[in-house]
Amino acid sequence: MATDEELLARSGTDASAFEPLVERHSRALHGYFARRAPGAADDLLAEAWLRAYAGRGTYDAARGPVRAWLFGVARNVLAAHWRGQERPGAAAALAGEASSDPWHAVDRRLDAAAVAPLMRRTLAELPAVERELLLLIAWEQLSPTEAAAVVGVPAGTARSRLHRARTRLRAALGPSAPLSLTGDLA
Amino acid sequence: MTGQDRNTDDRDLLDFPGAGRLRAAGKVAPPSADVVAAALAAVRSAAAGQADGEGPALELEREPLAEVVPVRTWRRRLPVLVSAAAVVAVALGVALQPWSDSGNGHGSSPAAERTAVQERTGTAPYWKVRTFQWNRSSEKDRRDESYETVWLSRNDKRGQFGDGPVREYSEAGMAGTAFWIGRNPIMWDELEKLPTDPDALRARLLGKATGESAEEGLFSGIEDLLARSPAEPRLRAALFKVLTGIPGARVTEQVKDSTGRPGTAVDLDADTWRLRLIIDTGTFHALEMVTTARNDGLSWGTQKLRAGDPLLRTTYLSVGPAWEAPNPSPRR
Repeated sequence: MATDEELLARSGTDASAFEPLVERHSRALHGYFARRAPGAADDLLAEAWLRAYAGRGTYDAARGPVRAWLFGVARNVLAAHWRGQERPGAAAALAGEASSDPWHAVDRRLDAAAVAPLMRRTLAELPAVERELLLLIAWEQLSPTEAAAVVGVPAGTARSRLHRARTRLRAALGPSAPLSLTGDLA
Repeated sequence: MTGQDRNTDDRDLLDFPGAGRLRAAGKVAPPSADVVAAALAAVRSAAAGQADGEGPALELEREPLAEVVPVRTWRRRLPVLVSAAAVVAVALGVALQPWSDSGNGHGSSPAAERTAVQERTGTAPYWKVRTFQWNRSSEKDRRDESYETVWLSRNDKRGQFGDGPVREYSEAGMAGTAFWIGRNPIMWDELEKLPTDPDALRARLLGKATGESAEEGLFSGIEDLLARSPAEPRLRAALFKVLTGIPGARVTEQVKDSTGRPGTAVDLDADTWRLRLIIDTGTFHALEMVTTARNDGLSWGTQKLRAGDPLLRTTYLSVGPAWEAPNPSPRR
């Protein structure tokens, strides 16, 4: 079976070679969108594939595997989606925040899944990049290096930030934390 | 899985209480066959359009690196926040690895030194940072340490772990290189526009963020700017003032980093750990960032830590302008 990289390379001259990629990765990409923009996941999936197809010539194997590249494309599509969702004039109000941060949608998902409020609060207080790295690993099952490439931070920086995020979570949610205040933990 | 992943794998990262529930919260139904078919049809339609000569249906938001914009020069008037000697040290340091000569006298005049530095750094397109990172492993007998070199430019970041391949660090969703202050990105192009009045700078960096985590984000963000950005001396001096003005920050002079280099430490307590950034105050470059346990009893894998035990340490071995960066390695 051809690898993703082989298919993508071949799709430059044979468009049909791109189609197996859609079949292989649609579930993962749809899941990425469904967790962060549940009402728009179907449309965003098609948008991501269109962008990936249009940009297939820009894929650089040195940046990482095709799977990580696709999540990078998906992240762009999601960011554009959230920017489009902003209310007029909201840009000024959002100065100082990354406007494409899908935290509120993620938090609603965590709430619906009965994730403890203490964990949600701890996650909310993480810098957006740390939280995104953590969720890419926990939910998209990317490796730390792949997640770093998707978010666009050096791998070493990602490792340090992930360690720090984990330390904060362990400190907040460890045995000495006031778990009785909140919901149950796995 | 790459070498660095073997050091920091999923088991390490997702071992906090509640991680299972967090994972479970990510479960979603797969897309219906119709949704995948619609995506496939969209791609086929785009492909047919291209075959008919219409060209690509969409352009990627982030184009690959098209050009490298030089690191801006230091031709503007030099800062009044720091002494002339410190300014010269900053200028020299960037060209010559800041800490190696800081505090020592230099034979030529300040003006001559500045001119020489301008000639060497004025159009350097990259900023090169080499670090040594040590992380306390959750397994007592396992070593977790690595070297990394990163080349940053206005649009582009690439890096090399140890002697491994050079990799491009994409900046998905961002139109260029960003330095993060919590959730607030400071773009490369914004560096020279940042205010150098400490109060105005603090307000600009924090944005609307408030609270203890915002102060911690500010601390880490300033580390990033001092360590990895080509900030001018005047901005560096202002960043140092903002850093030391963070509520709860404590300054200790005459400390040494793990390699023996002298500097000034700025400590900040954050939750159960303590952040320590050691800075060469002659150049306002970061030397080392250390995270230690704040109190006795913090669990780390099977270990129980004592106050002061280090958890993470990043040592900035060298930093400065670079005229070129290696091309990313082909992936096998």
